[in-house]
Amino acid sequence: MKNAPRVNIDRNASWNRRRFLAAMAGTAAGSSLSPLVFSAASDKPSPAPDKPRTVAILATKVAKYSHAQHFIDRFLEGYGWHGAHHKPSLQLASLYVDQFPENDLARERSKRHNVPICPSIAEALTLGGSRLAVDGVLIIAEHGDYPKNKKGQTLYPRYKFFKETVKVFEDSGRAVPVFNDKHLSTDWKECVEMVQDSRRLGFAFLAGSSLPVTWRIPSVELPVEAELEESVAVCYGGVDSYDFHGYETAQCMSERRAGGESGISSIQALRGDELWKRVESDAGTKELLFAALARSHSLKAPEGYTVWLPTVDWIRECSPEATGFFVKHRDGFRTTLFLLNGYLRDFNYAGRKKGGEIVSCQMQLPMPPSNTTLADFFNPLVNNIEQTIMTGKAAYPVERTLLTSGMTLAGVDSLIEDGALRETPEMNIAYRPQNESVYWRA
Amino acid sequence: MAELRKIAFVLERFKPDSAAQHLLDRFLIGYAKDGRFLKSEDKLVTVFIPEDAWNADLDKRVKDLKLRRTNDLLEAIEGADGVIVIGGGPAGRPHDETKTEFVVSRVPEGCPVFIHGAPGRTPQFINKLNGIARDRKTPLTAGSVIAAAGRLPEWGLKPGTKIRKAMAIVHGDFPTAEYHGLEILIPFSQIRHVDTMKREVRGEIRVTERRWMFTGVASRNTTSDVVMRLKEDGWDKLYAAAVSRSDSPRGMSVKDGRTQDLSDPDMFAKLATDARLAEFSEIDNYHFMVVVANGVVGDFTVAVEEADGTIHSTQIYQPPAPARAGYDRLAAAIDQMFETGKAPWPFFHKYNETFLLDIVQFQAESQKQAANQAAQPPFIGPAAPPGSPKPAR
Repeated sequence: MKNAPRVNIDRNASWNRRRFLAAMAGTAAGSSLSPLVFSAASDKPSPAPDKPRTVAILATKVAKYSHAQHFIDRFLEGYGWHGAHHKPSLQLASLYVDQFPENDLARERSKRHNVPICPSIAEALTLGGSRLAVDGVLIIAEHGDYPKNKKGQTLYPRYKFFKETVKVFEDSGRAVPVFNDKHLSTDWKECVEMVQDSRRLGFAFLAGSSLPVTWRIPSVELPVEAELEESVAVCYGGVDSYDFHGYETAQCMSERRAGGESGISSIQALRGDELWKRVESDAGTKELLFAALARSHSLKAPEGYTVWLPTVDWIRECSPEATGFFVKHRDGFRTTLFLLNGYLRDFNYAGRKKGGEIVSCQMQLPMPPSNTTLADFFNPLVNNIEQTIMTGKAAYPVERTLLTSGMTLAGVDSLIEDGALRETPEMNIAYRPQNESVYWRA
Repeated sequence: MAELRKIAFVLERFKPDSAAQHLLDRFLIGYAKDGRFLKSEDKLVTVFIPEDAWNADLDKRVKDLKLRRTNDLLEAIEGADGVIVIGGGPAGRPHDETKTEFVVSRVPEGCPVFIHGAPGRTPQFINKLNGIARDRKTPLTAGSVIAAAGRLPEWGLKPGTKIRKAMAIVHGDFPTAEYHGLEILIPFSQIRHVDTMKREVRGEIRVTERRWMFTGVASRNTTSDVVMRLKEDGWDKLYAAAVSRSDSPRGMSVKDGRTQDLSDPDMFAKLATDARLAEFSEIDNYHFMVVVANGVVGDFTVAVEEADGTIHSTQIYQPPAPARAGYDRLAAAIDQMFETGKAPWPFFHKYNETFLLDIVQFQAESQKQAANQAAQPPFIGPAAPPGSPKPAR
């Protein structure tokens, strides 16, 4: 895979109707599931436009501390950025909200800021007209009352929102940048289709978690082409939920290894004795597990203590349902994700470079209301969305999130098959990251 | 580098989630530093605590972790390779001065002593303590978890940077909040040395003594006065920069509007429940300010303005309970002091903190009669102890 030819996608091109229709005509070729080999977005932004641009936010529900509230309020009220209160130059023009629970905040925000809540996605994007009328779209389909599938995955309507958005693009003969919060879909083919739609119509597509862009403690930048040999992420949370955050924690570092990302070939999810036997049999992975734990600020201690040094026995006692996801990349690189519920409550990374040097950090994700009232890790995410919409270029490659979505899905598959090795030939997603990580550091 | 053997803790009380617990446990068990865990297997930890303060939590540590108990203070510090003194109250509350003086006077010569929080009530006592330590070659410093905290984002100013203003936004009761604010700000005074006494020696101008000269201290203790001051003399810029680093604004998002925008001091006025402000001036027209923003924020932030108008700001990051991993950094700083004999920051800082807190407290009491009255300048700090350039002879 390292030598596979890469297809350069011109994400910076201006669009007209003729070109757009020509792109649509290429749908058949673009939607195949053949190996996806993408180049990263350019690092240089194009000049900012001279008039305010507008965005629509498509949300499942808006309640205090829901993801949608964090995004909406940042666009309406601003947020702290680089030592100042930053008010986005993008105007929130419309909302589409799928569910209105008793604690809904969407109506209050709509009234206070005079932002319409539209009855359909199409109307939110066209502002009641016949053509696309906004300059960017945010899909925030996290939280809300949605069914689960047989695997226990919550069927958030991200793909549905996305396809309705694409339909408006197609009907309008114009496409604008889209951000999708968290993983793309619970179906791999849908995930791929979403990315391919963005390529086919040529719009910037940004997606994923706050983890790759939040504070790092300490502030660790891994250069592109780093001689990285293995990654471990240690975190907490539910399967089909925070596991995705954990994969993003690891992948935003792993992708910077020499040769770039090559895709993954298999994943195996282990629990109980099988998990810890695997850990004990692999000194390298175990070393990285403890290196990552040393960056945590939340390790559980025995009753009466607030600090305790980790041992495998103690971790097992605290986290009887601990889960390890062992990911093999196509170039032989390895990523392991540990979900240690009951033992810690933060996200930590450790990677080993050639020669044995370990790089490690915490990627900070303090949860409201106990550790923060703002959850300011949304600040850098919103800022990268702004940059993406203003420049028309994704701040970082969506292929990362395509791959981490795949890891999430395949990990769930392995877990429900009692730890069976899940081969992932379809996830041969090769890409290279941008030169500079865009995590929050100033 | 000294082989560590005996670490003595001199405590007044021991209770869960106190500095005493966090530090004692790190010296008994270990802590994380620079991405790895350091075990404390090589340490013999002894504790002295008044008999009536002994409790089951300490019994547990004797049983589980081989903590050694002694009822004799002299025995506790005898042969120690490092001593940690921790008072019974919050960091800003002074210790039992008699006990602290006894420890510094009677530890083995050269044995480092770390005092948690404010080491005394008056600058005179701090000066006395400093003199004893200097005479006995005892490395001495003091401070709280704030002094060793990390920053979000990480940055530092180079020594010699010309600074015009600085502001710390903190929260809490008096005097602990003000104490923490000064712990954050006093190191910036050190960055921009004020050399007050120079002498020509063989054709060269040399610093003969380094003193900090405070030319004014003013306190405000009502929200309206605080907000008024925040709007004056360009302080609003520093306030906006510092508060933009907060991740814990208070208030209800529905009731108040989203509290993400606190950069307007009027929002401060809306949320504040108990606001205070202490402003300090130094001889070279450097001004710094501690803003106690109870009801407004729940974290610690700081902004510094260079002479050219550049403003830097950061959050003084405090990791959450129950682990309060910030104590890892403080324990590491103390451990390093015990190993190397070099204090992580000068004890001289503590003189200035105590000196200024003393004035603020005096003003707070005086203001019952005359609101917002500034104390009369100048206030002259003491000569800087070890760590500063030696005076020319």
